[in-house]
Amino acid sequence: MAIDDAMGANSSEILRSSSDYGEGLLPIPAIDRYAGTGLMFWLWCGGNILLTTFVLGGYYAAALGAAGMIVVTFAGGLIGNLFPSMSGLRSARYGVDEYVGMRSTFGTFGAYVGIFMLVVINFGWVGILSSIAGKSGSAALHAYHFSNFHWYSIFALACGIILPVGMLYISPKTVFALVKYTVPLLILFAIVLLWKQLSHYGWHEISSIKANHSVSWQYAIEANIAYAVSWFPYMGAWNRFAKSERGAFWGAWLGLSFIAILFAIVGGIATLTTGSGDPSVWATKSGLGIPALAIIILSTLINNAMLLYCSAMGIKTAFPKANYHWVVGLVALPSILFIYLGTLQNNFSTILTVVGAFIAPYWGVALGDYFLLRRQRVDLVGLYQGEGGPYWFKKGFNPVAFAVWGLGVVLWLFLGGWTSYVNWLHIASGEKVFAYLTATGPVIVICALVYWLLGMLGVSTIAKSMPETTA
Amino acid sequence: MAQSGGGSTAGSGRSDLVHKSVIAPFVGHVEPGGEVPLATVLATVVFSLLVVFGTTAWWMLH
Repeated sequence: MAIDDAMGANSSEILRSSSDYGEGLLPIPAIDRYAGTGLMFWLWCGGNILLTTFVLGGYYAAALGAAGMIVVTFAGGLIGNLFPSMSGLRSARYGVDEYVGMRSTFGTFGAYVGIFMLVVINFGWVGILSSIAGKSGSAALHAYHFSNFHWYSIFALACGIILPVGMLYISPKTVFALVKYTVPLLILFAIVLLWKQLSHYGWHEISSIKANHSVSWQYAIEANIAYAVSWFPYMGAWNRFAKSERGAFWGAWLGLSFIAILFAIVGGIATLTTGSGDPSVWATKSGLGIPALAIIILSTLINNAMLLYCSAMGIKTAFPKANYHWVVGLVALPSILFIYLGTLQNNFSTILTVVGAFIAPYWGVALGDYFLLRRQRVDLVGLYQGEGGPYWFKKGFNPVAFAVWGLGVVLWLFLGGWTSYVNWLHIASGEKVFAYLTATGPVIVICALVYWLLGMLGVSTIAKSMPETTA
Repeated sequence: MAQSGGGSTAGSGRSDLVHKSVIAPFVGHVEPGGEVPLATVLATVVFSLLVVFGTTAWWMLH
């Protein structure tokens, strides 16, 4: 009998190649995983090929100079991307979506808080990325003397909404097929852009541009780590396709880090040489109009498909009876609003603040729970249970996990609130401590350790969710 | 016993995401292997820091 939906058909067997494994909530069995280390590497490379990754390097290049920018980019990229690569291992092991797995930390309904953050952030992200594709597409056609038409809307809606939704509608596997062939090409374009900058200006000239110290290196490290951990909400949905945990970990860490470092350095050097933080200016000055447009269009396709799939699976976790095909279509619609509102540059700082303050401590608690407390063991059947199951905690919420999350949010706002535009969050003593610690990295580690300690001290709410053999 | 020594699986009910009888056959068939120990992650952190700051020190000295 086919397991044709995730709502409790009385099946007693595991079928191979069921579409439910990618489009439903059932765990994907080990025999049905099809993404090896290489494919996971290309997937996460594709995920990080974003205009924002270019912009990240430009964010602090003038402040630190070329050499300082490169060192900080390496340090922040390598360390920052370790956190999401680790958090995705729960889904890689159990084949479950991020928010099914998250129930073991925050509770059956507590995981919905993560879903809410994911879906709301995605509305903005998908809209902003679509608008970038729209602007680039219309600018390119304008440069080639095409007549005025609604090119912005056509490019934005086609690349950002219609095609990604169409791919997911067919199958999430289409994303893997796309990244396998396009990501190497996109990386080549970025390398050509870097080579053009270096050969035109020369390293000596680039490295002699004086740092203006407008922001500190700690601030640059913080930006890198906050940017990297913005992947937290997305890891599980895709890592459950991995053929091995090792492949999921190394594929994600190497893929995310490689692109974060390469693209941020390209963006940083381009900002130094052109004096502009606008990627369209770099592309024009380098004579790379069409390759740059290809990067933007293909990366928008890949990214929006990846983000929308995560939203769809999150919504399926909250509403298991919802039809996958309807969900992937409907979840993209609110983003259309953001295609016509705001710009990337205006929203970049706000995105990093929200990620640092709310996302980082939430997944910090989850890392402490999964790695330190549960030692990478959860109850698969329990993840799908409601009342009476091991992860029901108190009415579906784990109050201890939420308390530690709250502590993490307060701590982040103390340390990093001064980087936001909110005046009352500018705490002088927090800024002084930030100079030694930064904010996002320590908050993740502290949340993980505090939750672990509470679990080790035998707080009853947590202890009840532990297996009898180790409780 | 549930997957990997998990906790109680009693009390399946209406609030379940998926009925227990559907998930139970998956137990023991989902783990792909290739565990990444925490020690590997910590070693990666140390390695990354050494590479980054070692390179920086070398760069500054030359």
